[in-house]
Amino acid sequence: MKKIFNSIILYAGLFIAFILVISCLQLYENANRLFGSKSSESNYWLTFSKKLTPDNIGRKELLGFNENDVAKLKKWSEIKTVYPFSANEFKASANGGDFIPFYTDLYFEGLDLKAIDVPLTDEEFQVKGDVIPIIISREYLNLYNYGFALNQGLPQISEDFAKKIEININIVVNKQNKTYKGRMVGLSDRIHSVLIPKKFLDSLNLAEKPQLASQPKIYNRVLVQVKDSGDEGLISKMKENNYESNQESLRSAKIKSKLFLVLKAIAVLGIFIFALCLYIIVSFIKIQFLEKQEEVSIKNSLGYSPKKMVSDISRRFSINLMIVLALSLILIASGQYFLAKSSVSNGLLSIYINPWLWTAIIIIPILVYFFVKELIYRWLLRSWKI
Amino acid sequence: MDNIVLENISPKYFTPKDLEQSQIWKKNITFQKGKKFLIVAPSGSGKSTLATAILGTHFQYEGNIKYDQQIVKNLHLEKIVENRKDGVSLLFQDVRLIKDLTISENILLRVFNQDRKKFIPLMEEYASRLGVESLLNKKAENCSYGERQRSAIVRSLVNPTDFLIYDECFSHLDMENKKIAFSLINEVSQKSGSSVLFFELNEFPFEHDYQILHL
Repeated sequence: MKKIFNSIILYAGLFIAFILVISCLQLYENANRLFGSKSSESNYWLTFSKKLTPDNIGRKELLGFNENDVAKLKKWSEIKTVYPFSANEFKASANGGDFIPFYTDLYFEGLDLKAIDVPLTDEEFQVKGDVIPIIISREYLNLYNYGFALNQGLPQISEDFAKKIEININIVVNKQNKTYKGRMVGLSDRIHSVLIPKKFLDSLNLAEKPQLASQPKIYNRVLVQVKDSGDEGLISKMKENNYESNQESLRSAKIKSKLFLVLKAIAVLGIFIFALCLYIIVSFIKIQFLEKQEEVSIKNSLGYSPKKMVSDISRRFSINLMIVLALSLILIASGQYFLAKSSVSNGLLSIYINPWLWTAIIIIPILVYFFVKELIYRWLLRSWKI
Repeated sequence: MDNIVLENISPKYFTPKDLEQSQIWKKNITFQKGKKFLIVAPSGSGKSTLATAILGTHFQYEGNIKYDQQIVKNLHLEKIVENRKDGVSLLFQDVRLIKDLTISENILLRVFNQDRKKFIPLMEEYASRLGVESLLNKKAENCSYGERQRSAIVRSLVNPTDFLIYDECFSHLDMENKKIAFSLINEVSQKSGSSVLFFELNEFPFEHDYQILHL
């Protein structure tokens, strides 16, 4: 009776250990899906700028990224690609003409089209005649519609309507005024800027400042595509280099890193309980051998291999372990199913647990079988002092 | 196994009485398969020490014991144990039956992984010859010493090895049972071609054709 009770306690301990370790592994994957979700691409794009300090204020060569900085960034393992922003070196302004009476000074930036989250081809996003295609941040339109327009009693503008409005763009290059028509062709969620075709921008910059061709290039900001915006390594490297980025994605990274820390702590606890259970199991088997010492010794003298006797008991134990593991995985798998179906997951979680976890049913009992067998066999031979 | 060779062996931790007169200690002797030996020695001369050393359960001796050409001391435990299946078996002085098992279960331990049913008629026949047939389903712990001794003899014969060693195996048997057991051992060993080594305090008080060796 006592033996059965001891066995139940032992296997219950193993069950808890497996639940802890497996659920940590699955939660790790779930957290990755939730925080580093591929369905929200913005998490994978960060705009880097250098932190303003009393030393670099107003000094473009210090505040911007030179070719060396960009080359170093490209070497970071967390970064897939780097897209530097070109900024206007000339004076630019916009007015609404007679239809919309407004005037504003403007800044422009240029970026590789493949880095911009607007579905346009190179053909569509280029200057044709005197029409400049413009992409602005969706935030700007929202700022106008929900902030400026409402307060000033101005009409609100839908995205489609905004694409139909033409404004005058005045550019001063080499002290010569040039007027273009500006037409918005898309809104970006990724980039907070006013973007025009990069080639066009670069050619105007060169026309304004021909010396730029021979000078090292300085970029005010860079857009980087990262594997995981919540990567702790990325955050520490940014901190080290005094780079700043979108605060929101970094905040999620901090939450994620803290969550992972907790998960790691639970997993370590699970592994500790597992190791403890394994130790108890080995002691348990030793006690069984000691209780049956006479029987084992008689069988050995009759010709029964001690290795086989040990392997029989280890095999029995490993099969029990396999059953406990299967039960743990079934419990975790059903938990995952209900979690994925619940509103918390927001449809981002898989209804199945990571298929690799199922391999634990085979791998762990086999490893434990060999480990326990070897340990007990050595102990048995030592205890016989042969 | 065709031979068990003793090469100049002597116990490590005690000196037997009459070591000089011994025909075994410090001598070279070969036990050939099929031959029968009666090793006679008084108490304290190392009968059990020698019997268990031949079985390979300890190496507390100087010199070498060989199974054919192999020195037992150099063999891995698993290899020694493997030899006990078909090569050499010993009926210990203290009988050594597993208490919790029945007599038949104890006897059939010698069958290993072979088909047990095949050996049951043989077991029943030998048990009946030795008068322990009615005990086959009784637990070993509930049997008398003499009954256990006879049961252990059945166990040694049900699947006999090349060398059958008996360490004072008749100590709790009366003369009648002694004769029956001796003749059964002879009969079975004859049939299987096994060697028999009896370790006894005194010579048998009945006729036999065994080679007598004094330890």
